[in-house]
Amino acid sequence: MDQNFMLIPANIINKLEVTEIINCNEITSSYGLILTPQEAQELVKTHGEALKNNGRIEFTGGTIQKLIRSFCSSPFISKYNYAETLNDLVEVFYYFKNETLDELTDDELISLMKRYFNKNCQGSLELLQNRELETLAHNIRYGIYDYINLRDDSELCLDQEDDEDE
Amino acid sequence: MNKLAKQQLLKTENLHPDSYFQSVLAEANRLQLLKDFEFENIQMQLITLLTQRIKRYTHGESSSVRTEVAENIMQSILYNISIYLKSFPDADMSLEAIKQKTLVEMYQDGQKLINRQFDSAKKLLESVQKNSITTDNCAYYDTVQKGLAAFFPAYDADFAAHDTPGSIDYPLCNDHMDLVGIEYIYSYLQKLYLENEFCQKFKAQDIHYLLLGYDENYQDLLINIFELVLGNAIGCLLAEKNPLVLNIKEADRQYIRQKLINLPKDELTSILQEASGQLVKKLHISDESLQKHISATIIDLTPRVKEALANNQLAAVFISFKDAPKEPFIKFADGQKMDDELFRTIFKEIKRCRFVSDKIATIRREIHSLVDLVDILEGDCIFGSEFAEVFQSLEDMELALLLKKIPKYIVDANFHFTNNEKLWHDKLHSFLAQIDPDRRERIKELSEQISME
Repeated sequence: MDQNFMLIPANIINKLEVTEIINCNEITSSYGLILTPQEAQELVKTHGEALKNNGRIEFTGGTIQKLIRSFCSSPFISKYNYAETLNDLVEVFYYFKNETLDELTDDELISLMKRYFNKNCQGSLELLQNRELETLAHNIRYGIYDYINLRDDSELCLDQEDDEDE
Repeated sequence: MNKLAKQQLLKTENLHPDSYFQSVLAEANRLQLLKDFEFENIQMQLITLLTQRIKRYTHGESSSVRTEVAENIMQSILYNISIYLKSFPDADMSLEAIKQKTLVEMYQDGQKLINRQFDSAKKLLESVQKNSITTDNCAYYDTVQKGLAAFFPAYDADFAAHDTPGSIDYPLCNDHMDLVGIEYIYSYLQKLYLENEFCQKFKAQDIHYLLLGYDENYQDLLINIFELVLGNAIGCLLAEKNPLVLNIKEADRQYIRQKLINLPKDELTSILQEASGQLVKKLHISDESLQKHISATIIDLTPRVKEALANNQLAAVFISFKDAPKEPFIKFADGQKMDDELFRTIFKEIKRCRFVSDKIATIRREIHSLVDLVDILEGDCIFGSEFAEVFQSLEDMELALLLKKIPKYIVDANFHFTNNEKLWHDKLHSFLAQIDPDRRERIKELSEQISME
């Protein structure tokens, strides 16, 4: 089986992906977000590792670009954390593709990630991963019909935590 | 006049029925019948086809899938192509098709063949259910009436054509199981149909007695009925009897033994083959497939007969009928199970008793149902040698009832019973082993005659 999947040399695929990522700079530059070729290369590497670690195979590609296009407008992403956040988002995306049992399409998952990241989590990747998406995955696994609506007190919890920090 | 046979480049014996396409490619590669660029082209087409199928699988809504999903879809593609290639009379022609057609075309043709075979298998199942034999064998009944039918709604010809869902427990004779998916089901149904056709020539009652002769509990065994019936029918012919009689008595076995004992293997084989030829004639079997199936079964029967002759165990191959076991005539209705609170109180009382005589007295006074008695035996309140004394205090009928509670044929007691259950089962068995043999037999007989309500 493995032999069948490794026909196109990996370096050619990587180059193509890096070019596509760099092309996204045209859109993201209006938000002051630019990825250097090294950062793009790093992102491609993270992408490959995330697929491998989560036991997944990708044929059509385009997921990184979708994540970039979706998250570049987030008020919680700046040029200082852009590349790092994207790397984390790629890992989180594939992890939760599995955890949500492939019930969500790519676009649905990315749109929910963006919604939780910008609203419930106020830009915290930790909260996104460990609270919101975990709850979402739990809801899907347990067959909860309205799985998108996470617990109503999620914002309340966040406020409480903020109060405690103060 | 001698016939000229075409020289085959690809040898059938090097090809695997369950991975036909891959083995044709591997063999062609080994013999350098495919050029490198042709081989690479096939690989590229395979990746493209896989990508298309995965897109279809995810409805284009997910760019990635789990590795096992991709592998499954790939297996399904290869299976489709294999089915198409197998439709050619020989492997060389299938290699030619690989060279001339695109993978997508072969895949689509394979799909058509699978759909056709799926419809034929459905019809065949109806015929199998119609000509099924009447038997108490659970595996046979469940497979024919339920297990096979479960295949059809569960079969996913699009993405898992190589899977064989359903529940097939009944073993066929000469079932090599080197096929998968719809091919396996179709071949299973074909063979089962033939076996049913054969068994239909005998009385269901005779088959029942024959199976009882094989094992009293044949209902629960995974046995092939056709093989046993055929064996005995052949035995009847060897004993110069009508094969439809099916029963082989001790005198018949003696006769067969005398006839076959000193024969070399080749001669034995030819005698058995000859007998199978006679059987086909006597039973008016005109179906060539059934004739072939009988012949193949006889080939397997020969070493068993040889072995049985050497070990003087011919009764294991040529079986004597056994009448049905006597119907139980003691109907037992258990007493009222006591409520949990009261049971707990009595249980504690028994546990507190210092002497086993006190325990026995409490049991005899308070316990009035078999289910409560069993709960006490399993309840960690009777220990070691106390069991024997408790059993000693019970009457024959009570012991017979306890014995009835222990299933006779258990393959793995660890799997079926808890440690406490196993403990009293073992203790009862060892108690029975120590008592007077007449009493033991009486208890066993009583146990056989009891039917629990």
